[in-house]
Parts: sequence; C-alpha cells; structure tokens
Amino acid sequence: MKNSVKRMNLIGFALVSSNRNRILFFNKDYEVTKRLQLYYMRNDLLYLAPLDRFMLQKHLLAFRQDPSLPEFNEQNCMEFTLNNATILPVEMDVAPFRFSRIQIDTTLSKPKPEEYNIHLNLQHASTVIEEVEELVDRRIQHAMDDAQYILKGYEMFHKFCRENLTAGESIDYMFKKDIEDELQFKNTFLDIKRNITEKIMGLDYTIDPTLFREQLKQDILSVHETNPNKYSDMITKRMHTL
Amino acid sequence: MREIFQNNRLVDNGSLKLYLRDQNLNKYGDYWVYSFWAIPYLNDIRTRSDLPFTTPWGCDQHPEFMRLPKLKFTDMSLSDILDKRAIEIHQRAVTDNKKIYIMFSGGIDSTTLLTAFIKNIPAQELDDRYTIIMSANSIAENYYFYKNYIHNKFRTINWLDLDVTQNLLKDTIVLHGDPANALLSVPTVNVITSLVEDGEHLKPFRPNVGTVIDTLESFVLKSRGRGVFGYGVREGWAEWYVSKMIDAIPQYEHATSVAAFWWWHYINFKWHGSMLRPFFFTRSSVQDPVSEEEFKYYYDTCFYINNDFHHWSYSNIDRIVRTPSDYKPEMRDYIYELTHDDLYRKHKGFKASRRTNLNAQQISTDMPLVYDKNWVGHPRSNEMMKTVIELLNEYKG
Repeated sequence: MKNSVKRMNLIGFALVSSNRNRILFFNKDYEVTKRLQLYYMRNDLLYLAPLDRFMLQKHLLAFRQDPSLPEFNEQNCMEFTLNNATILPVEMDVAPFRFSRIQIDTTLSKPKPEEYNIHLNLQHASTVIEEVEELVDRRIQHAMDDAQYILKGYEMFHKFCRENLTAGESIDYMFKKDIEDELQFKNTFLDIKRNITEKIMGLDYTIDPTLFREQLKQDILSVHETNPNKYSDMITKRMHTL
Repeated sequence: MREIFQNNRLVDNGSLKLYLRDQNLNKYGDYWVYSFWAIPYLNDIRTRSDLPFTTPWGCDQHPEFMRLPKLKFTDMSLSDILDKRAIEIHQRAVTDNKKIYIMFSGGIDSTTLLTAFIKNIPAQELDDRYTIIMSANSIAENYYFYKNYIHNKFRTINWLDLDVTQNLLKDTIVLHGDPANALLSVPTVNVITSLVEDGEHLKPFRPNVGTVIDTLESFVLKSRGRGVFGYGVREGWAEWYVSKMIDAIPQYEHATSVAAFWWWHYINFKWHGSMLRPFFFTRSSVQDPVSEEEFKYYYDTCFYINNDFHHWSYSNIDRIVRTPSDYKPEMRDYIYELTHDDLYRKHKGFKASRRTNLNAQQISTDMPLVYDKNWVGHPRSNEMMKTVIELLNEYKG
C-alpha cells in the first residue's frame, strides 16, 4: 500500500500490552500516545502501534454485525477491540524494540479487571498529562522568552556601562551574579516538569480508576503545593477542578 | 507544633491562602482566611494583647520595643528628620564599632536613605565603614546616582551574596528602604481607588464607615471568581473586617478621612512585614537563629523606623492622602538637592524592587511558613497545615 493511502486511512495510535493481546489505549495524536508510553514504561512495556482503518476491518465487521452496538466510530471500535481481543496485525513504531510488525494474539478471553483499569487509567492520565504539561510548557516557554529578553537587556546595558564608566571589576561582578540568577530562575520550571514526570511514572496503573484519579491529582498537586510559586498557581487551580 | 506559632515573628499568610482554599472552616476561620485573599498586604497580623483583635495563633507577642510609638504632632521637616537619622545611625556605628551595609535598589526610598548619609557624613568616613548592597538592576534604575555617587566610591556587594546571619549582625548595621513606602507616601491600595475620582476618599471617616464597608465588599465581590479570589467569601466579611480594624487600632480615632483610615490600616499591617524583609530573602539558612539582642539592635537601627518618621507621617496624613498621584515629593526634592538630577525628580515612577521570587528555587525549597521567636524558619508540611487548620477551627473571631 502506498504511504499516502496509509496516511489517509490512519486513525490514530494504540498502546498494546506487553503480551500483545490487548489494546489498552488509543489516541489520534502520536505525541500523546508516545508520551504516555514513555510514562508507563516504569510499570511495564507497552508497544506503540499506528492503526489504520484496514487494521480494524475485522472489528468493524464484527461491530456492524452486532445491532446492539452504537454507530461505528474509532473510539467505540477501540473499546470493542479491548473487550473482544482478536488478531490485529499492526506495525510497530517504537524503539528500542525493533520489530517491523507486531500481531496482537487472539485470546478470546475477557480482559482482567486490572487490564481494564490500566485502559481507563491511561485514558484519564493522557488527558491530565496533556493539560498539565501544556500549562508547564507554556510557562517554560514564557520564562525562556522572558529570560532571553532580560539577558539581552543585561548584555546591552553591561556594554553601555563598560563604555561609560571607568573600568572596575564591580560592574562585571554585578552583571555576572544577576545573569546567573536569571538562569537559575528559568531552571525552576524544568525542575517542576521533571518532578511531575517522576510522579506520573511512579503511579500504579492497575488500581481502581476512582482511586487512580485521586492519586494522580494529589501527586501533581504535591509537586506544586510543596513548592509553590506564582507560576504553579494556575496548575494548582486547574488540578483542584478535576 | 503549636508552640512554633506562639511568639512567632511572622506567619506567611500568602502561602497559607493557597493551602486553605478548599478548607471548610468555621465562620471566623473563613473570615480570617479570606482576609489574606482580599487584602494582599495583610502579612503581619499582630496587635497588642490587651486589644480585641486576636490572631488564630494567639495574641500578639511582639516584644515591647516593636510597638508603634505614641502619636504626636511634629513641625520637623522630612529633610531635617532624614539628616538627623543618618547622623544618629552613623554615630551609633562609630560608638559600637560597626560596619554599615546599605541596600540600594535605585528606587526613591533607598536612594533617599543613601543620600542622607552622603550629605551628612564626611567622605573619608564613608569609604571606610560603608558598603552598598545592590545589583545590576540598581544601576539601571538610577544610573546617574550610581555613576556619580557609588561607582568607585563605595565597596559594593551583589545582594545575592549577602547573608544575614547572627554573626553578620554582630558587627554590621544593615539598612534598607523599608518601610518608607508605608510611612512617607500614599499607600498603593487599589481597594479605595474607586473613591478617588469623586474625592470621596477625603470625606470624614466616622460618618462614612458604611462607604468603606460597601467599597470593600464590592471590591471583593467584583473580584470574586477571578484570579486569587476564587475562594468564596462569606457575606458580612467586610463589615466584620472593618469593625475589627476599628476596635484593634486606636489611631482610627484620629483618622480624619476615609483615605486616612486606610492609610493607618496600611501602616499597621504592612510596616512590620516590610521592615523585616532582609530576614526572608537574604539568609542562606533559616535554621540559624538570630538572638533577641541582635534583633533588637537591627530594629533600633532600621532607618525609617523611629518616632520622628512616625510623627511626621501622622502630622502630614491629610496632605499625603490628598493627591495619590504626587508620589513622595519631599524625598524627590531631598535627592535633587544632592544630585541636581531633574530627570529623576520629575519622572521616577513606582517600580517594585528587584523581584524577590528571582531565587525561586531557593524560595520553593527554603521559604518557611512560619518564623518562630528565634527567627528559625519552619517549612510547610502536612503536620504544619493540620495545626493551622486546627487553630483556625478553634478561632472565635
């Protein structure tokens, strides 16, 4: 099949369980799926696989044969897939496991409760992670822009002082200290991001979804509320509404 | 845990509000917490223990030397007070054989302070004893002053290298521009801004207590649900708050106008916190105690804290509050007499000093929730927050 046709029929990306008999997560966005896969890796290995309509054809047929099911869309088809594991040949995307293709095994068994929990928890985590990280990223970007602007200002004014004041080490020292501090300030945001990542990676995805939601909320809040600064306030507020 | 709050030097109400947003406290606990949200500068709630305005963590235990001076009118000019204060502190440094560090941001308050020493102390004595604590931003804020009066004339230290410890305080007097903003200018209070346009802020205070309450209530309600005011206020908070203030602060008897009332309110609840700033942002460790003796010395030599400044302030309230846009004219003139820098005198605007959250990493890991009586900082923790909530639940207003 031509790549262009493949792209047209691509419906999104899945995370497939390590024994390759379940699709545990599906999202249209590669970045979301990829990031979640990386977060989850501390718990277990999940394969990331791109899915297109042809790959779901079998499910599609099964889906249509069942009149009790709602109208077909990708999401409920994936739900159906989760609950009715069957052969699903998919292409592997993810390093470091360099298979070119992967096949989801047929088990015909109902998923175990913890598998279903993983599925729901991954879905919830993906939403929260995206939102929180977007906020943090926006803040980092803002701080970076701000820092660049400020550093440029320091540079220009330092040059001016050197040209207009008699030489003295004190000028260079003043600027050096302030610039170091400016950079340290910027690094604070990266620390927040690192801390959130640590927390998310350490979560138990097999637990009850209600418990998981609360745990995720508390863990992210703990990063911000034990280290509050004005930039984390918006994240804290958002988490309180979840 | 509770003993930490007894005789404490300061509780960081600013971060408490973040934690207590969703806590369901009793009516008075909620009122109290809401005060943090509505009045941003309410960072130092203390009164004398014989007055009715108590805090959830017990009544004020400020030492006697920190009380506000008794009211008195003075005819002294601000210029004379500044000269007198600089000479007094210099002589004390000579007598006690101490160095003097002056924190200079380039703003009006710290420039006025430094000007007072340059005007009144012989140059050779300035060389030996004085050091300027500053940053590159100070140069940017008042370049001509730096160029003509500091550069190659004083030893300079970047404020990030200043470490206020008990040892430093033993042989050094640390001076800074706080709380001149509270004492010598119109406080930057947006709560009563809506009254200024029609001159309502100059109406007599007593018959217009209702206006103050309504203004405060509407300010709060207008802000409700936005920004920091997401926290739900209980009805009647403004009335409770204003009546508590009137009971707590005897100077309100002398408040001649609505603005003057707010001015006293500002003085009472801002000045302590602001004059203590070197203890928050320029200590490498908040675990090292500072003795009462050293703290008293620090307090006694705090430049803008003395009876003369308070009396001048009180004597000039009506004039100060009349034109909020005319910002610190006497201080501008005082600096101008030395520098003849008309640009600075005419155009210097309000600008917060170097941002204190620049050391965010340090603040996030080290900034305490409460400083106990020995100036040892205690960080936020679950146990600490539990204690705060208990104290607030027990609080009866």
